[in-house]
Amino acid sequence: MKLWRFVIKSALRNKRRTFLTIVSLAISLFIVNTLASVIRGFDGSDPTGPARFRLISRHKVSLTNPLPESYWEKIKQVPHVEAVTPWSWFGGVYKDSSWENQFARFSVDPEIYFKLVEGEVTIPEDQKKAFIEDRRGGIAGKSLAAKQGWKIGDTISIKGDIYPVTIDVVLRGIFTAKKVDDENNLLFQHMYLEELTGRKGIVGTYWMRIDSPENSAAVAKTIDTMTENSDAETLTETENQFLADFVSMMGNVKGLISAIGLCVGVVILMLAANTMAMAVRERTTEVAVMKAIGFTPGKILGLIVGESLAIGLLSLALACGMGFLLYNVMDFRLPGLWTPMVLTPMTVLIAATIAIGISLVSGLIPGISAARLGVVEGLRKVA
Amino acid sequence: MPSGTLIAIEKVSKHYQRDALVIRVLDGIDITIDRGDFLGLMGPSGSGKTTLLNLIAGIDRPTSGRVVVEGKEISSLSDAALTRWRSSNVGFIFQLYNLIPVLSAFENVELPLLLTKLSKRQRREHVMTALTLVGLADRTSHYPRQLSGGQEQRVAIARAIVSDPALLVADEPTGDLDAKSAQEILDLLGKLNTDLKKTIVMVTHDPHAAERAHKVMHLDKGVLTRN
Repeated sequence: MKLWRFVIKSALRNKRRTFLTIVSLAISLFIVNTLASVIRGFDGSDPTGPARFRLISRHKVSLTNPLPESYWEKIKQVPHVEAVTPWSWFGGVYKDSSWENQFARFSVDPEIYFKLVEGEVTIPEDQKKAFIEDRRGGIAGKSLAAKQGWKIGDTISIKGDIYPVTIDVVLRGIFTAKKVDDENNLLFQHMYLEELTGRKGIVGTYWMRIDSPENSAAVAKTIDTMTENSDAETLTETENQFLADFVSMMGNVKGLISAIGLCVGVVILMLAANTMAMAVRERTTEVAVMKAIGFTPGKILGLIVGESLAIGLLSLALACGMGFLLYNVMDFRLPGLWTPMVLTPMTVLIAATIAIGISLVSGLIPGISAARLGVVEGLRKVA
Repeated sequence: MPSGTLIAIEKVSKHYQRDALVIRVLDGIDITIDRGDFLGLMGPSGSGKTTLLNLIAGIDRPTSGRVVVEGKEISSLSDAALTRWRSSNVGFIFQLYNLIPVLSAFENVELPLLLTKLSKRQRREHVMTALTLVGLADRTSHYPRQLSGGQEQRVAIARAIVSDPALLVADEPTGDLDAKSAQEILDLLGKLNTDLKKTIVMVTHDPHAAERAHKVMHLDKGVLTRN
């Protein structure tokens, strides 16, 4: 027998209590994982990534206000802008409103889109060409196509809600993206939407690529100055700022979620500490006997903390297993959340830190008491 | 019987302070126990016999006086040193056996050896020798709840002797057993004393149990009344 085996046997001495503790901790850690996934989805920015090279122009008043199509040519002329495309949120309903059928649908200029995401999105050349050449053509992310069971040539019909039209997009390509979130997008041609809506000449936002991140402030200022005092003044910002603004429109959701996460963490700590305290209190005599036969206070502390850690790690494994199955395999997402909820190494790390931290604290408190317990005092509890 | 003093208790007193009250549990005790002795400690409840046993075993410290075992004054050792000393020099036998319920008989006996550097094979040999000595070699995989009281106490004795200590301390080892089982345990202790030359100090209320000892000391109100 090794000491770790003794730790596991001790942890399982009251199987029902240990099972309930592990399940409670696992559910709490699963909630932490979920909240971390939601926050991660909101905060998809990467200050060091290729997003630094992209700027977004939107209506200064609100994201829901459109911009005129005429800005496209004007922005193209701005120094340091390498490429610019209309980027409009279509919304609409695909089949029904169930969460399985929620995904992002944008109209873009196909040629320019590929310039904007160069190095981030991969698509076979023939599929890329087919998308560019077909006015009704569209491309979908690999994970979205797999989830919906789409294949090249399928027609995807989406009934508009913002736009009073139904689009019938023919899938011409399937792309893979470095950011898994981007694989949940369906992109189709801006000109197709323009045709269907009777050439109204409106655009949701403009996305552009600039030559250097250092010029982002100057480019933004030029564009916004150019549209000043017009009916559609623009607000131009980096992609990361744009995403941050988008999240802030919902209020301090991140703060709220973090607060909930903190409460969950405190509850787990109390639960785990209480369980370990009970488990150790029941073993006062046992601890005294072990000390009598030669177990040092350090060994006793190690055994109790080890037991607490074993429970915490089992809970973590269960929580991460649930999260992986639900989010990564089944692609479940909370209704209304536009980004996939994915269990990433970072969310696992957060949950692991909490699980290990809580296990250590909840094991240390009764462990120190047990380590300090006098042998005679402990033996007297039965005698 | 090997000669020479194993344990010397010199002017040992043990007092407890309870609020303003000082309780004198032991008062100026002097005892010498030779190597290979089988000493019985008798006396009424509260006479201090378990306290004296605890001092001899190194799980308690005297208020004054010295406890010397094999020439080493154990009462002056640090907690860590005393713990190490106990693990290799003392075997404990308790009235309520105090086996770990989640461990099998084999694992309970193996427990003290986990603190040593013995290999798995060596540990197995030691455990099987101890269990064979107590007549339970066929019960290795049984858990305490699957054993009778007498068998549990025999496993506890195997645990006490597995690291081959010179001294065995037994606190009412037959106090929770029926007459037949008690007889078996006393026979076993006698065998350990005569065959393996273990020095045994046993606290008991039972005059029949005390008859097995070579020497019986009586305590009353913390002082030795007669030998």
